[in-house]
Amino acid sequence: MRRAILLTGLLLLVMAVPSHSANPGGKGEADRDFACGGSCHGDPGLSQPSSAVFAFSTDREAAYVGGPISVTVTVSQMELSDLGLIGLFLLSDTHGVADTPQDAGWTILSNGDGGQTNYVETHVIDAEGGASITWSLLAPASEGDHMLHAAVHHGGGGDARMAVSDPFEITVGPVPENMPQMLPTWEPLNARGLGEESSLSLPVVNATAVTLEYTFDGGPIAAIDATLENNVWTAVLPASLSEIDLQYRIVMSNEEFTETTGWISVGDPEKAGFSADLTAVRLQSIALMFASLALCISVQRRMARPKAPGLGEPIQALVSADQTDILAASFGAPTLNMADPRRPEGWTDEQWTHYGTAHLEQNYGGVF
Amino acid sequence: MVAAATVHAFSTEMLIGSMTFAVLTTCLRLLATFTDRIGQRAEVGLDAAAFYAAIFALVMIPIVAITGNASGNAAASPLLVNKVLLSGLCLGLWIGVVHGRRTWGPDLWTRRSMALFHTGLVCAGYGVAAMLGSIGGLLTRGETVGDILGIWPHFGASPTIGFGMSITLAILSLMTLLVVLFLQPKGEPVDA
Repeated sequence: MRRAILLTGLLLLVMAVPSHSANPGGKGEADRDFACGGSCHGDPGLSQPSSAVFAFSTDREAAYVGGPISVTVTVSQMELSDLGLIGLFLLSDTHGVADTPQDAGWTILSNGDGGQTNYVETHVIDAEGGASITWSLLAPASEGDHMLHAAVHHGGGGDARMAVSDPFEITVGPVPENMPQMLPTWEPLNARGLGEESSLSLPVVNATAVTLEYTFDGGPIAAIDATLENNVWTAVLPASLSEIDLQYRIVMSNEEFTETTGWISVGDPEKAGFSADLTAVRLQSIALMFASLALCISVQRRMARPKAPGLGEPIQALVSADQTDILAASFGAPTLNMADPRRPEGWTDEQWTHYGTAHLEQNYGGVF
Repeated sequence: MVAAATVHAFSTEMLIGSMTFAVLTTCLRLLATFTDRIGQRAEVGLDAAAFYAAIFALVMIPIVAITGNASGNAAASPLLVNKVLLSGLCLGLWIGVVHGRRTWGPDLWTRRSMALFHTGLVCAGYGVAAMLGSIGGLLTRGETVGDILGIWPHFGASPTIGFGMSITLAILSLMTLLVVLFLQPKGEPVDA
């Protein structure tokens, strides 16, 4: 009866485990392929369908080789989990691997959330309103029609869900002669701490004037002229004194053209700018291992030392080896016979040596 | 091809399973030291099971660390940095567990102080492994079962120690270990 109750209880516990969506807390912003490293939602093929609807928009009709363009992806009408968290991808294909925009030659200047990743997580309050993410990009080095896709991972109804957009075409044309350009080697500022001024070095070519425009919380746009020194344009982005949404962009102009990068968001450095020296961290880990091991072994050896003789007890060292042998031979403890028929079946020699005496005393009244 | 993260999840399950088994059998063996409710055969079995489960867990720790390292960029998150640090501590403690049982032999359970120390060490090693699992939960699911306790650390910040200080710490700890290994008198197996 007891066994039946135990088995029933265990069975109920196993059946009580709910099927949950994968990673409801998200995976964090990063550069992720469509297959999400095989671990985000287990596998794209295992996710349930989503009712998400995608819409693309850009800040210009076409781009040129290496030129800026901002792509905004709006996703709405999706099912939502209790957390309301969604993960939005910008992709160059849906192969599953090597399909980020960077793999196709695009440069991500900003993901609109203080980073430069193709995968962004955000919370959605209302599925109808959805969420919009704007990626500020530099076009690839090859002319032609380039496709971008968006995909969304989210939960809803206890399941992991995902959807992929139709391809969105962007035409990349030749660079107009004498067009001011930001070189793809530029590493934009995406994160910084409060109260820090930032000096930006801007590798701009074909420009006679460069201006840094910035806005706090979508307010009025302020502008600072960059200065040219030793063929490098430099501008200083003022410090922000509170946790406020700061965006900036670079306006490059000459007598013929005026060109503007997309808006670049500056985020929290603890979120986007964390970077540790991995070699130092590994050394610290090794130090912890050695130190903890040294402590363990030290205590273990100390505890395993034979006790020092107390007052009145004869010191073992004063007893000669010969006398000890004689004493041991005359009055030594009875030894165990390894072939003793009372030895339990399956006991190894080591177990019999250590536990045999206790076993015989417990069950047979002694060794003899 | 299976992703490193999948192999990491698999090896972690093996590790935690064997560690849990080692902790349970160790605690039961400790119980036998303080009571007479457990028979002789069970005592032998519990001791052996705890020992071999600890050895298996020890073998699995480096595999879990390597696959975990291959699954993500540890330098990009304070949580992952703490994971790397705690992995070293976990490995040190479990080597200590196996070393202790091997040095003292199966009769360590006849001395209460040793039995308590050994069980405490096993529990400490398991606690560190639980913290590592908790960080994994925070990374993948955004929450940890440890939150039920209310006092469970989230490891959202990691120590910032430079390369020079790190290598100094590593050398100092290595010297400490060498001193213990070669200068401290060796322990003897416990004789019942």
